Amino acid sequence: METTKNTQRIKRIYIIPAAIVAVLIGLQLFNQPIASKPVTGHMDEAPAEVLAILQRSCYNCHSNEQKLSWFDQLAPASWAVKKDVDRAREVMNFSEWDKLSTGERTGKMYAILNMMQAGKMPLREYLLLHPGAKVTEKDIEVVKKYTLSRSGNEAPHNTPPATAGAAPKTFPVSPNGVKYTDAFKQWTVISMSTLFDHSIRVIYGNDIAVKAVREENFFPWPDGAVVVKAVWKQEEQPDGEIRPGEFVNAQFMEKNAEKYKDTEGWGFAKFSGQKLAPTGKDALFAQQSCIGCHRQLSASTGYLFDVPMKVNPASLTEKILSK
Amino acid sequence: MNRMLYLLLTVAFFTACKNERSTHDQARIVFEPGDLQFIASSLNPKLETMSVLYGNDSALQSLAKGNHPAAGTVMKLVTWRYHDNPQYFGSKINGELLSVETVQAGSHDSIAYRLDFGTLQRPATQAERITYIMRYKPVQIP
Repeated sequence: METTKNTQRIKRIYIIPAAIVAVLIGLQLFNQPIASKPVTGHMDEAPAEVLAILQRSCYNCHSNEQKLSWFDQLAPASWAVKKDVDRAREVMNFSEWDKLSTGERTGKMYAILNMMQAGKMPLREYLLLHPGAKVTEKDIEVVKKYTLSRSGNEAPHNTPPATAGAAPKTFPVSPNGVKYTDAFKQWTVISMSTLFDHSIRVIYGNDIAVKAVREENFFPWPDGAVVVKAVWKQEEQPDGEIRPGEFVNAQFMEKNAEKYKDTEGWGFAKFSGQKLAPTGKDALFAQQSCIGCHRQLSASTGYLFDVPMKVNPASLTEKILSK
Repeated sequence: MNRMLYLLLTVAFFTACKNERSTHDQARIVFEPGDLQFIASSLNPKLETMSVLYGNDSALQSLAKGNHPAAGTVMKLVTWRYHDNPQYFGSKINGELLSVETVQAGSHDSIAYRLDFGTLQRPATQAERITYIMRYKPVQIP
């Protein structure tokens, strides 16, 4: 009697791990491998020490040359890995570096530097299992030095102005549905900025956006908020002062939580040159080239970079408003 | 899984806040120009300031054509200190509000100047400030 009970208990002890192993084996049937893609061109222009850092810390996701550990390839972990790699390749792919213009490459280097400095990349959850990918302060200095040496080239958000011509009679629409409107010229200026690409920018907001900034209503921004960043080339005056010169583009961010679910509720658009040519072959462009940085680096202001700094006494708001 | 997600979000939230300085009693200011609209902007690397020029229709027209402003023309120059953008290395953004100046054209070609708020970053006479403000050109947008 006692022996039968013991046998049953032993059976029960074994049955649980056996079941887990069986489920794990079963899961492997649903294991989709990461798509194999060719290497079209590497970042040959960077110094070896920069390349070494990128290869060690970034290539496993941001390239077509994954060197995955066995545990990365087992379901269910492999599902998360595949999702990360797919998204990472979409945003930046070191095996297809040749597809980028010089300006885009500089922009990507600034994005890489900013991600590393903010501790956003490599992803924390990735570092738990791949501690060798961690970037040190010294690594960041190396990347920073190289990035700064590239300055003066064109920028990420800087599509060269489209060929000169009259402004279009009907306003263009971005592939994701964001419509250009010139109403922003009458909106309130919420901030000004510059970028390493020698551009100067003015950021306009509609009434909903201005109210959201004043009330810091960023989590989430209210639907209907629209922010437009007008970008010009910097033009230096004889006295050294800088003024907006040739128009480069107008960048829109339009809040609609339902419509733009894949990009944190923001509809991104960029209209370049005199013809206001919209950026993007299809609606995916915002997932590929906008939200990556906005999501990681400007989450504290609801995914907007140029929200006015919180550096003025609160009492000043009343003074300014009453004038 | 949900717990893990919350944990990651919490970590992300606190990391995001690390860049912002202590913000007690501080506000994000948006200058309210009333009926005036944006005309032009500038950046002074020596003074580390950025300015925005606002004006009414008459201001826009006289600056575009380089004409003497008609009576009733109003312009406001709002100047801010600029900083490295705490969210993006390689970018600068306006910070503290430094001054608000108003130029107003009256009848008989008279032009009045007033410093509404703050102090100028470099001493200048009223006439010099009027000349400086009147030299702005409206920005070009298609």
